[in-house]
Amino acid sequence: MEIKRVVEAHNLYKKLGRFELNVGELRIPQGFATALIGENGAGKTTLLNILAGIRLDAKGGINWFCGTTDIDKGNTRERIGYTGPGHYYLPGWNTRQIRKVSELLFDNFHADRFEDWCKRMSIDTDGFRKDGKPVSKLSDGNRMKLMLAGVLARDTELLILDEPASPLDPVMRDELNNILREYLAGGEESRPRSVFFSTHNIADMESVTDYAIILAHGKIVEEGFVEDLKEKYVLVKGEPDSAEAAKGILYSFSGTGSYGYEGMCLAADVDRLAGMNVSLETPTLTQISVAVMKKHGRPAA
Amino acid sequence: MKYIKSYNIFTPFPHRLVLHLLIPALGVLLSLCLMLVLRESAEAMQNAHFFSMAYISGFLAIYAAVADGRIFGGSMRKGESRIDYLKCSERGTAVYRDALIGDQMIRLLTVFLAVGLGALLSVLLLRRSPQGMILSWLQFSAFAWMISQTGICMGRLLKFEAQIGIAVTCILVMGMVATLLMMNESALLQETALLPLSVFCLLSGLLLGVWMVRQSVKKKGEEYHDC
Amino acid sequence: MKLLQNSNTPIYRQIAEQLKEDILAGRLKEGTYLPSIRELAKDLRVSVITTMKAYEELASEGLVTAVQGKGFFVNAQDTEMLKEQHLRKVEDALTEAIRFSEAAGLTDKELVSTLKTLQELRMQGQ
Repeated sequence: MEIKRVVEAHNLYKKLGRFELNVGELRIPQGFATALIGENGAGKTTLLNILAGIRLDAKGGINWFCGTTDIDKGNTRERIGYTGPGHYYLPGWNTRQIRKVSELLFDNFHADRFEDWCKRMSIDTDGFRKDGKPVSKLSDGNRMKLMLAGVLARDTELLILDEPASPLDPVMRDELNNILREYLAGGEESRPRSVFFSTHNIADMESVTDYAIILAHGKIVEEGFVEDLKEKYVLVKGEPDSAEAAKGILYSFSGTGSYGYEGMCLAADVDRLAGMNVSLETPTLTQISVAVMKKHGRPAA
Repeated sequence: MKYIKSYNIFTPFPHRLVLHLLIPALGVLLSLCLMLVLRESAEAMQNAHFFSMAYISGFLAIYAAVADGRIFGGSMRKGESRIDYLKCSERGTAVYRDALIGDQMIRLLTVFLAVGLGALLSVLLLRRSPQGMILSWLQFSAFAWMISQTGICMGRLLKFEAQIGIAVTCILVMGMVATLLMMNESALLQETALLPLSVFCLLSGLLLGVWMVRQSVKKKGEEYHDC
Repeated sequence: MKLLQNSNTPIYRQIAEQLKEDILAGRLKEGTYLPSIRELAKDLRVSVITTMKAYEELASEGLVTAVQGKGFFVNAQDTEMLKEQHLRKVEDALTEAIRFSEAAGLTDKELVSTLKTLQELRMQGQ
């Protein structure tokens, strides 16, 4: 099946102090949910800001929806829904003011849908005051939900979500998975929907992650469809006696105690483990991500 | 109207209530009390017709300057009062600009109307001539407007912590201005200083308003490139 | 549909297997469209790539065909092939039974009579 790209970027470059974001090729598949994974400071937020068009000072070319290279043209901003950490809404805004400002800002915002989402996610909007609490008085989780309600109330084709799972409780994280799957399923043939989100909570989001991009030090170090990545890597567990021999073959390696070791092996290298007393397993996306991030970790000072 | 719509979004309802209703009401009430107390003394009542205007313009100027710190405070400083939600929309900066313009217009109007209410009170209760009161009304309004504009401008340029200093300064300046205006029986002072000064205040307040809007909008635009 | 998160069989294969059973048993009629990959993902609470891979597996076995822009429809199932598929399952199950009977030390006769008894019991049950 031919897969189109909802966002394509070439040679993205942005220097911020000592940090450099340097992405040669970025391809986000259309019609899928893509996770952006990386350590703190890997450049996830910067990359998301650039793609969401709230940072316009990066070098390089971006193409949205297989057509436009200028986010301020062709109604592109209307088609993108972005949520981010920190200064998103004005702290003094209450639910009613957010609804009002959204109506001014976006043609495709539906006030009734916004109310429905607020109800469905049971956003704590204060029973005594019908306008709801101001954003500054909401918990992080409720603030996140309010941001999600804002973008979900619009007819968008791409959601760019910066750490949507982090502030949510376990039940709501599960619900977020459902919500994103519903969002994807709600797309039409002519207007497919895609999601691009960053997360540290890989396991919680795995059931909605189709494609994964792993970022380290501002560069993409691994990417692919999750099912393909799970075939590319094999989780290896072995007894201490084979540790030394396996170490040279494994992609990542940890634990040389008396209880044995665990490591990630490229499927292509698995044959070389023949004869060793090891067990092989399909890794989870979390295990793959951790192995890749460790491999590309900061060199020890 | 789009300015009012945006302004309403950016300002909390209690703030509008205080600015448009509570402060004028408080000014009227206080001056009524004072008139009641002083009504025996003819000497004291000589200047009683200024009380309500002085109260209203003073309170308005001080409150506006302090409250703005919570609304558009720091908006002329780089990186402050960031609102990423606005940046997601092509109309984000326009909506923000409309709110700032709405704020200028509404405050200007509020000052003149509320101080006018004080003047009206003097005409009705103290039987002052409307012609004389019009001049005082315009002068009080112009001074109050300029003082609140200056305070607000400082609050938008500086951090919120500066608000207390700004408030104190506003109280002092407004006090001095009020005293000056109350002694304006001298025609010479009126012609040589107060009249030109109030015209200057009105005009520079307007210019300052235009400049503040432009600076805040410019800073918002720059956030796309340096945040 | 029952999906086991912690089984050794990948989820996409579990989905493919169960859909295959439905097709072979005729519960999914020929010519009908399978739910879209995104609808199925939503209903099964799995990622889209998982259902897509399951459908691709069915397509590679010739059970379904992808139509650009319309999804996957169930192919006409060759009755011969269907029988063959079932036969293979019977053979697999019987081979396993033989293995266990060897382990238990049953004679061929005893094994055959067990089979007959089970068939009779099933008839009675129906």
